[in-house]
Amino acid sequence: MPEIKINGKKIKFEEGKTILDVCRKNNIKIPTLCYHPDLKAEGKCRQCIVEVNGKIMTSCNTQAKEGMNIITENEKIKKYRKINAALLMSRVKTKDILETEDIEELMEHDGLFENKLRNLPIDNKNPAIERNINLCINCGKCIRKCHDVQSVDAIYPAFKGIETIAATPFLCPLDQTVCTYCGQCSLVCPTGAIREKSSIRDVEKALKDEGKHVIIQTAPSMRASLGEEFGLKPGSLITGKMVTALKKLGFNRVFDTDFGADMTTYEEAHELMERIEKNKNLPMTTSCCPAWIVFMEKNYPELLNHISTCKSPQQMFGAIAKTYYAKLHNIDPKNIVVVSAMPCTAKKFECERREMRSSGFKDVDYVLTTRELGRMLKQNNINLPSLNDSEFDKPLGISSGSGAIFGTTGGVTQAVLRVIEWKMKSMDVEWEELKKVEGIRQIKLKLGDKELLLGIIYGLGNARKVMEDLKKGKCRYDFIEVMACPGGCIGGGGQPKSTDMDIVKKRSLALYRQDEKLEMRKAHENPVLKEVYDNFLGEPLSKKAHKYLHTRYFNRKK
Amino acid sequence: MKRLLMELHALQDKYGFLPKKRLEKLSKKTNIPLAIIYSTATFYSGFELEKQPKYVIGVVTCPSCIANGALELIEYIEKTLNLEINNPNKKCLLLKLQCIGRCYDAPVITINKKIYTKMNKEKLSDLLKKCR
Repeated sequence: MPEIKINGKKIKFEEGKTILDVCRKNNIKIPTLCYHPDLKAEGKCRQCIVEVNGKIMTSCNTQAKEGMNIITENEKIKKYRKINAALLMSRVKTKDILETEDIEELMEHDGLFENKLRNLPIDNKNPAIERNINLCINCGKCIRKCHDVQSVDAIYPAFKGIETIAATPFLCPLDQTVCTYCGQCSLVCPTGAIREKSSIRDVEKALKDEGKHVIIQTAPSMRASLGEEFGLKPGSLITGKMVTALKKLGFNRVFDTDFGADMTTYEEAHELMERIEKNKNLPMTTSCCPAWIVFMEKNYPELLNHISTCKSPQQMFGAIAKTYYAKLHNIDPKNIVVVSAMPCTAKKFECERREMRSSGFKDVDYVLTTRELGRMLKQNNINLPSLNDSEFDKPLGISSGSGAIFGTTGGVTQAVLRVIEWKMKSMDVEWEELKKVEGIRQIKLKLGDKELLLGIIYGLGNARKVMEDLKKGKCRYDFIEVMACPGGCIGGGGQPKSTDMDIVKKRSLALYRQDEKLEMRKAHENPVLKEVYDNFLGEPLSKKAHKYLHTRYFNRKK
Repeated sequence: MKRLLMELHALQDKYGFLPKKRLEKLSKKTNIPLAIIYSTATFYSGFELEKQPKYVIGVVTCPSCIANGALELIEYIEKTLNLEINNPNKKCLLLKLQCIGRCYDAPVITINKKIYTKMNKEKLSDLLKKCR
């Protein structure tokens, strides 16, 4: 193993690692800002500078080489870091910045050029994401996410020098661009220049209204990530504590989106079996990711017939809550407010879609992201880690393990296959293969005498590759699961800002732990699901099921 | 990307600026995302995104031209055409230019990219007649 000297100490390292990697591995602290472990290093912010053999260099994109003599901090480096920090912060009002870990150390540097403060309009015309470019310090993380990872290209740097900003084409509002509202940009933005459009006020208003019956549904991935907002270790499962916290906030009922996920599983499995039988519109792709739906509507409208017509778990839950649940408990659906806690910014857009009103009202009223819910709990002095566990309310809080794994990549496929296995009896698949976290996976499935190929994809960049193949007729899959965010919902755009792939993998394991803990692991075993079908919907894919649980898509290409 | 620059130059030459509709069409034709086209168009000062006035007058304001009276020329143009630098009227736009390498012919001005050398007020008043 080659060796380098860091601050006078000899350290062995693996070939091909950067200086920053080596230092982090050996617990030597180097400040960074534009660096993100999942993104290409750009060396833009120059906070990670170190002295290599007497020369100042950026550690994030310099490879460690045998014999290097590195000093990570001295007076000169400190001075340079400070100047660079002041330059980065020179065009923003530091008091407007939403503080995050990345930027804490920069906060002391006020703008150098007060008179050069930007005064651009705030873009908040869409329901999901708010952009205040006046807070942008050009770290470029949002652009690397949008361009390199998601291949969406809604924003890109425009103008040059001190005028550079992360801009939409012609500075138009985000809803007129190809943006899918996946929110990955808001996940990495260190200043809050791009953030989710907050619904906290609306929810608080509804909670205070005596006449309203306010219910909340919590997304599968939420229980594996919300704890991080309160300093718990990544991958901590806090299901019971979360329910207690939500009850403390004043929600009349705390339900589970996992129940909606069970319904989606059940409908989607039947839809898939029907399509395979009739050999119609194959490959079928999943439909539970709203960013993926917008991506298809804006880029590949000619392929929309491949998407399953099932609504997402969130919307199925909303439709059932304002019809079946309202009738069951004799509540006027007009007075029910459905709030959902989601790891996602695109869900905010989904619930505003005009066709998502099958109950006669807006099926889901407000969406809170993980970050917003964390903020709301803190504002109300609720310290999540210290709470006791409680159970979800009945009936819509009853769910199977299939629902829980919806939050991770490959989860939807597993859930659907569990139902198909029960229906078709003879099925063979490598279950362990399904549990991995990888961008594009191919999995063989034996169903009776048929051999099928499943594709499991996360990241819109990967999805684009597969869709290009499909357009050219080169796609061999029969079923494709797509999640827009890296790792699935557990890496969603509304998750805590510390999210990276290592943390995502830990959250994924937490969801599988939740699944294994449960006795009821298959969607069709859910007793409430049976009740809803027996008393309300009839059969899967029936006319009534289509009315409440299925949707349609629109061509949004310009 | 090389092709993108050629296409942008062709549009700039044809229209005198880059019309939004044309760029959208270009994005569809080449499959280059519109945000990247906009990024390129705003980066290079050779491209304009808005319709330009009929006459764009540039005065070089680098040492050689200033020493030979460029600043006085700017003042003269502002007075005769009744406009300010970077602030166009209906027909004309007045800009400061960086050195274009004709220092031995200073002061130098350009009108719609045509170069006029060894300028003085008499020559200029002839040239400005059509711009009024």
